[in-house]
Amino acid sequence: MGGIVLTGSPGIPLPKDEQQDIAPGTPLAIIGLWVLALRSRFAVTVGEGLPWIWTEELQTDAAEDGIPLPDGHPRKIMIEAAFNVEKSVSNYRPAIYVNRGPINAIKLHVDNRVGKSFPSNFTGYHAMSDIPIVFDCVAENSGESAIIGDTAWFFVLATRDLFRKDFGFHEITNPTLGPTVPDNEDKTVWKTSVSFTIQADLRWGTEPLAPILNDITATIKKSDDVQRLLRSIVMRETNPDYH
Amino acid sequence: MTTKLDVKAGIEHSPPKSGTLRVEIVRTTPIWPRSIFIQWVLRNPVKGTTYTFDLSRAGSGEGPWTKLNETSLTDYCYLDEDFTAPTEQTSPEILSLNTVIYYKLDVKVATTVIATTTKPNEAELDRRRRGMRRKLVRDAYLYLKKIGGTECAILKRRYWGEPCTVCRTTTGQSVRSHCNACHGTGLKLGYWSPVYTYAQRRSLPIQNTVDTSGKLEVTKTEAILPVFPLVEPDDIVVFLRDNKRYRIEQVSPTQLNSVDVHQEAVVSELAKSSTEYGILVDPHASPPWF
Repeated sequence: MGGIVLTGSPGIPLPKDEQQDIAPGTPLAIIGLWVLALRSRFAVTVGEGLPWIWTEELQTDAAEDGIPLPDGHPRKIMIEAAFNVEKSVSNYRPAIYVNRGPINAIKLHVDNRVGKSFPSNFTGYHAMSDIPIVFDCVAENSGESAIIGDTAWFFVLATRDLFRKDFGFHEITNPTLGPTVPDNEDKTVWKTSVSFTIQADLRWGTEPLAPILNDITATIKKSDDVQRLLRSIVMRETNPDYH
Repeated sequence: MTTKLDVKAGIEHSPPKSGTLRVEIVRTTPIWPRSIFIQWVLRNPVKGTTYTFDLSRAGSGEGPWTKLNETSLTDYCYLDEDFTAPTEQTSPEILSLNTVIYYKLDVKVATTVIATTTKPNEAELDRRRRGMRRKLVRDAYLYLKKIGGTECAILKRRYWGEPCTVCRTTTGQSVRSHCNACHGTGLKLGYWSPVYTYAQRRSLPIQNTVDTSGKLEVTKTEAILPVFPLVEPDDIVVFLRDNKRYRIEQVSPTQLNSVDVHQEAVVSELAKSSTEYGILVDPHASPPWF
């Protein structure tokens, strides 16, 4: 996917220039990746004659001069994260909303433990997160919803290995194209769901407090000038000569 | 000598002076599910004149009309049997509970049309109740025109016609809801010609909810419509003064002996990006007088 969806570093599940509070591999980071990927798929630069295009502006060209566009002119599609209320447009169709399901951490090792450092008692853990992703493809008639769903479905199927490699996912399952079903909004709209699951590695470690405290005690005991040592800690000095 | 009676399609007019020639469709009896029997009379015909008739059919009171008879009719009745219900929707069907067929009858002397009338297929009343119903229909229309209503255009959705060549598939579905040729219906033009009339809508707040699409705005309200044209779910009402467009969701007609007098409908305001906003109507149209 590199080149289509830019990443900061290879193998990091985070879009480039993502907001600083979003950590790699977190749900918002993954939803953001798929929003960008779908926008790229439907962008006008792809130029393969899709009847829908994604642009930053949703206003139809016809509204500018009041003259209807010729038949077959692409319709602008909205691609957004699900439940995003921070946008001015409502009830717009066609649209794709990227959502996620409940995330599970799959236990692969006894108590998730993968190793231990005996001098420090540092323990390493590993699990696999199981993240269901759902695209809701909404349109005003069933045929359009079915085709948008099919396009998104095949996009995931065709690019899942590239996406997995570039963003460091353990696995992206083959997507499932759901049925096209009606929903009642201001009018009857049609929704086709595309669902798949992403697996990403989760790694973390714990270090018991007692060895750390022992280490501090030993440092104090072996220090020639305790006052100076404590002052350096208070002043947050990092010069190792003080220790 | 015959007098041409200028009758607007589907609009009942004040009773003509006695002695004026007029035509009246007195019976449209469905023989479910195959045919509809249509019968008409001429009031005050001129003796010695030969009258012929052309009968046309449409899904709305303003057409466009499809002529049913190849040669001019001389009888005063017709059995419309062309309801084959093809899967391609090229001709009408009467298998649906909602289908309303409109008939237009042209009275001709030689090749000149001297009178016209329009009528949907609906139940008949006896002479006395026909007069009562006419009064109720007139009062409802008068109320909507003079007091409670504003100008509107009613767009009846097509259920038969030429398939759309732009977006219709072999499954019979449209794959572009914003197709300029059919407005997502799969049939050319998508809607019958607009019928300009008066209607009243109630004011209800916009319901804001949040779902996967973010904020979802829905306004469902009630509208009072005159009896003509009879509306069905998925028809569109365009209120001309603010160009707000509503989709008919449910219709509850007020009836006199099973014949509609006026209609009360649950309508839903369409999103401004809906394909129905691409249908052209005349914003300055002045609906005809009752």
